[in-house]
Amino acid sequence: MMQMNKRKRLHPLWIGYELLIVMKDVIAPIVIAGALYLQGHALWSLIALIGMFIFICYQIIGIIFSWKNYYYVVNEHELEINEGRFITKKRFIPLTRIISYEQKTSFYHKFFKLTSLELLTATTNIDEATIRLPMLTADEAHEIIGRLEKETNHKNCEERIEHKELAYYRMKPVEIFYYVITSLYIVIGLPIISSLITKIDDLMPLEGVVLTLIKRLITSPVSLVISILVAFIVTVIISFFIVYFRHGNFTVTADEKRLHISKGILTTSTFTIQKDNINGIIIERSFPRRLFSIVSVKAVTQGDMLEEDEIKKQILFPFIRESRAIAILDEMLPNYPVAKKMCSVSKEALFLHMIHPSYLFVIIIFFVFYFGPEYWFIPIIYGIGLIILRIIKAKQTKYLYEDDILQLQSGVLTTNVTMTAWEKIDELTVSQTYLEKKLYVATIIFTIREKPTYNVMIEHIPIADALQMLTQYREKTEHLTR
Amino acid sequence: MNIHSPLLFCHYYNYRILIANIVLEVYIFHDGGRHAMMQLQEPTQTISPKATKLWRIEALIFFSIIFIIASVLLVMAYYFSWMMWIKIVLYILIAYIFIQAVVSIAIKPIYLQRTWRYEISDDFIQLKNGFLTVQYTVIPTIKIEYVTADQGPLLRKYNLASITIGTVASSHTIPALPEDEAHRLRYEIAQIAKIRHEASSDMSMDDANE
Repeated sequence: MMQMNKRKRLHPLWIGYELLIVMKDVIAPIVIAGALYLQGHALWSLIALIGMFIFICYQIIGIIFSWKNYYYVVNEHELEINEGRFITKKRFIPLTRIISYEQKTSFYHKFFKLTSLELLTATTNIDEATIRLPMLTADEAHEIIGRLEKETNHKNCEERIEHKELAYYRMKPVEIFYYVITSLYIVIGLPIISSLITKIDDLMPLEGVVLTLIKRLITSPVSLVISILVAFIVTVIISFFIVYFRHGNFTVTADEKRLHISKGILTTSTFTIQKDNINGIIIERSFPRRLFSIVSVKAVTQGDMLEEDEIKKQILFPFIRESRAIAILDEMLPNYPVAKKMCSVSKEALFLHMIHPSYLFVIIIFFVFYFGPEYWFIPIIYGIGLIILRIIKAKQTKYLYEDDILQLQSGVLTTNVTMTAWEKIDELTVSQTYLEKKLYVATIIFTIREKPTYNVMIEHIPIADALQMLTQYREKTEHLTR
Repeated sequence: MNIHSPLLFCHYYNYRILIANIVLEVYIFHDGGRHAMMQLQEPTQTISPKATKLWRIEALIFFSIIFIIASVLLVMAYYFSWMMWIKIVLYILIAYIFIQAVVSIAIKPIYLQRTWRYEISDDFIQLKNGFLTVQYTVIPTIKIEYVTADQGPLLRKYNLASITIGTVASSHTIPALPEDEAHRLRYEIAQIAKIRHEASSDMSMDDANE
């Protein structure tokens, strides 16, 4: 125990890692300064270089200082961290507050047999939610994870740890293939590749050989089809590899209490979360992928990863056949059973969706009739599109609630099926407009814990159902707190 | 996952009016196989009657500013002879703002003050309010993170205060309570939340000791 409480620093190679990042940021300005010099603006390039030099010096001093100031101590029930460049800050984080952690190993880390840890806490302050331990040896990381697991196990009175990990999901190449075909890679990739082919003449001294070749190809329909096919296949292959390097080796394993999500080829990462800390599951059916019944499955967790300043939901399966997803989920997270049949909303709901005012529609009508009545078809097309989308929206609003199931579906082109449990809901709001009151329907809003808040709104359900959900929610949460 | 078929009202929606009428009075729900009757206890506490006056002054200030901005724009439109459509849009906007102003100064405050209800019990905080759209929110007390009593200059003039209850997800305000009442409520909610948090941590401690 004494040895455990020792102050520990980051591995010194962290300085090198940070320096590399600084260098990466500085390369582009240096190139620009060089270009300025070549164009005869010697003074400007000199000023730019001096500025750059001061910036780099400041960064290096800052990095050395923050390495010097950084230390962490793993106490019995809490983690102590001291960090900061010129102003240091000491934080104590109770281990039980840590909801999930992610072990990331970039190429640099792997080269020196090091690793990094990111710990996520449940805090209202989003800036302090993530605790980073950016450069650790494998042993140190292992020790911290061990402490964490012991603490959470102790909390839930299970001294015996069953390390029976089962691999539930491994990404198949076929799924990547489906993903590539149904994604925007094709739409973006085809023009890029065809423009590249036509630009080859400018780049290489081929004396217009390629262009004449293309001209000859285009003149005959057979060779035109063949060349389009070739371009298509090339795009698919290239985007296949892009996706493979981004999501490749995606594996989900789970033991009785925890879920591990690993991914990556060059930079590998493993995300671990307790099953108890999962507040809900979202099955997302986005538009073109629905045709192939490919869905993506996400988890709603208490604290979400902050990555490059944007918050992302934890992805369980990035793209998977729906039937397979449901089968795996049933086995892996038995707390969230997926029920097939859900209640749809009624004719009244459709009516209410239809008469909902669309301000954009009014504005479009005004401008078209004011400026160009000859474009009368624009508002008509927009109106028809609006009606179709609203019918789709009404048809896809579905819900199901039972003793231990709560399943909500909403969305227009992309539908989300959210599965959650009564105890995991933070707030429930039933709202009724004047018209809804007259038609005996209501809108119900579920606030599921997450940062930022994750809301599910089910519009225009029968008031009886809404009130029953409200009562059931009260029953369940009362039971929870007693 | 072997559950008896639950009472789902959407299956009987053709009888919705009948069912809804029953439900609005006495609520029937399905409880572990046996039917039980339970009154849906709606919140009962009201806010201060001075709220009407307060909201009227607030709305007056707000809409005066909007009107000044709109009239300045209109004057500018004529002075600099802007395009015709801008003037039309401005007139429509001013008419819309005028209707809004009349509604929210003359009618809305009375109605809102009369319909605002809240209830604080050991288990839940319930809020019900709304003018044309009625909102009914239930927050379990265990989810409460903080509670504050705030008092702006207008509220202070009328010896009122408002209470803000924050959960992990969002925050809710009970507006325009009498000052003493607000401070009493703040204390009460804080106590309930504290007891709840202690109870839940005790429970996990007990589990650990077993």
